[in-house]
Amino acid sequence: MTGETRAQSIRQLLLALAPSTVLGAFFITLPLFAPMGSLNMFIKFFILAIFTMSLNLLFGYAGLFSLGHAAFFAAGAYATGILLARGVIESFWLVAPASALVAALLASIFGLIALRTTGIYFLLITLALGGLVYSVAWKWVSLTGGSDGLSGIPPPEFVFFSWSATSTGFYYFTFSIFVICYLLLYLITKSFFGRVLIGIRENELRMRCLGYNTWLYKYIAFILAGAFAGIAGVAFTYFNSYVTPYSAAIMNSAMVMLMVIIGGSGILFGSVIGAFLITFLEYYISLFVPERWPLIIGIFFIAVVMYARAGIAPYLFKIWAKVEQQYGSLKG
Amino acid sequence: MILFILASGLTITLGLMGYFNLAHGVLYMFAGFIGFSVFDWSGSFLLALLASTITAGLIGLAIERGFLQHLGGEINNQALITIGFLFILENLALWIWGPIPRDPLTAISLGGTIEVPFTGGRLPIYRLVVIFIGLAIAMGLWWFDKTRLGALIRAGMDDSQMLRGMGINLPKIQIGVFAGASALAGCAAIIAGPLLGMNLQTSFDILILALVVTVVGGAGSILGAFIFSLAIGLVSTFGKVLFPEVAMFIIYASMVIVLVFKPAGLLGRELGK
Repeated sequence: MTGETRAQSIRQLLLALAPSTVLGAFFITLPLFAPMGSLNMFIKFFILAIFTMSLNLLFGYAGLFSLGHAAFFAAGAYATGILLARGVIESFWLVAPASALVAALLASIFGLIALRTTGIYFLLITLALGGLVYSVAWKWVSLTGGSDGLSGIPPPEFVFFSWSATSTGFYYFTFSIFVICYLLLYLITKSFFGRVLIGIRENELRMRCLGYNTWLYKYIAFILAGAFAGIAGVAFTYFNSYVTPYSAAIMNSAMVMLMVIIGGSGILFGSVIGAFLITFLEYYISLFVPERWPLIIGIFFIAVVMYARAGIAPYLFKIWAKVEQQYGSLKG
Repeated sequence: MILFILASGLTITLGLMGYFNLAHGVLYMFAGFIGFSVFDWSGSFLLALLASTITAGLIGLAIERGFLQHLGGEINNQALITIGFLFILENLALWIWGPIPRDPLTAISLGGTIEVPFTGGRLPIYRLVVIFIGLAIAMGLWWFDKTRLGALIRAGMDDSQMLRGMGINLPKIQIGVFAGASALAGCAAIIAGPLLGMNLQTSFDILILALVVTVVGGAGSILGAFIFSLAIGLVSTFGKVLFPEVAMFIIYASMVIVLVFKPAGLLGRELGK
């Protein structure tokens, strides 16, 4: 009898670990069989997934609909670009934390301003703050390079693996950053803090009555989301070896919001799916009709909002729960 | 004045209907291109104006009827849907008309200048005409706001259930208002045609300007839109010449400041969530 239950629990454990093991194995071995062009697509996917997850923390968990999240992405991207292109410091280990810090600082200022408002005013004010950063990126030519942006940024150099300059090396580099960010955000969202955020999303008044300082929780979530978006920006600059004002554009904010919703807001893994879907589509559509991509993404926006507001992730989880039920039990 | 015609459309949808329409700028651009094509084909300015206004109105009608109406007042989703339309219409315009900007419309009937009394300078007649059209629209909207229909629309914003309970067909009114507001965008595009021309990039710049006017002036306030479209218009026109680096920054910053200290706008009323 005990042997039976034990076998069952082992079986369930294996089953629970199966998806992450399969996915992990797939991504680790991917450079062995993927063609060069698509490897770049996967690098972009990892970066955008970090960006999307950071917004998901803000929108999906804390319920704050921001249309200016690209500001922090751009802050990280530009901080890295300026530090490297101007040759201030070159070590990745200094540049990356400094850039993430810049994004977090910007978020701490913007958070103070934006969190004074709620609802539609929050949406409008984040839009305006995003526009503020965009106009700085566009007009402060001596610092940001204006519309040309900054170019000629060297790839990260590591003491222990000098092959990061190659595409494969860079692939593993972004993959590891992605995994670290995912785990961190996973812990954050599963923690007490994450649960309070969900509580605020569902009913802020009630949380306040229960004695939580909801403003502080939202503020910390805003800064954390900004910092993670900044990390994505850092990786993006290293990946492209240039920065342009587009990284701060409202279209970029809208795009990442689409990825959050299409994957499933409030579900961290959903953002990974959403980012993958959009990057994948963009890559393949760009192979055939690059000039029609905005048209297709526009239709996507509308279709998602009209018919798939809950996102894809809940469906996947439902299917997976069925699989688990069937094969997790002893009889299956 | 052109900014006013545009912003008045936006302020009506946002302030009186609670619709957050990010596609307003692209309607201006898309309908403008249609109007320009009609002008090329017929040579008639009035026909172009008519075509552009009707196109914008029809697209607005389709957006409201087909999509926004089914969302039940969810601002977030409205923003996303209208961004979707922004992408689609912009790309369609690129597809149909190509990336080359259009020069300002030139029609013989619109030329000519008039001497300004006392100063001795000369002013193109058309600019005066634009000012008069803007004034006329402002008066018209102001009057409309005071009519029974205008009151109904405002009431619908405050308590739509009550209004429905009283047997008033609110969706029908809202469709009309949304289409009308969109038509104003198309109308503005062609009125601006002889002065500004038209290009693909305008859709976004125009949207931001109109949005700032709406926010600063106060959503739903025709008077606010009127005053601040003049103010913002001046800042952006002279700013681009006098201090080009910070003109855009000032415009965004003014929006942030107003939202922080008086979210309802300087002359507006509080929006329902």
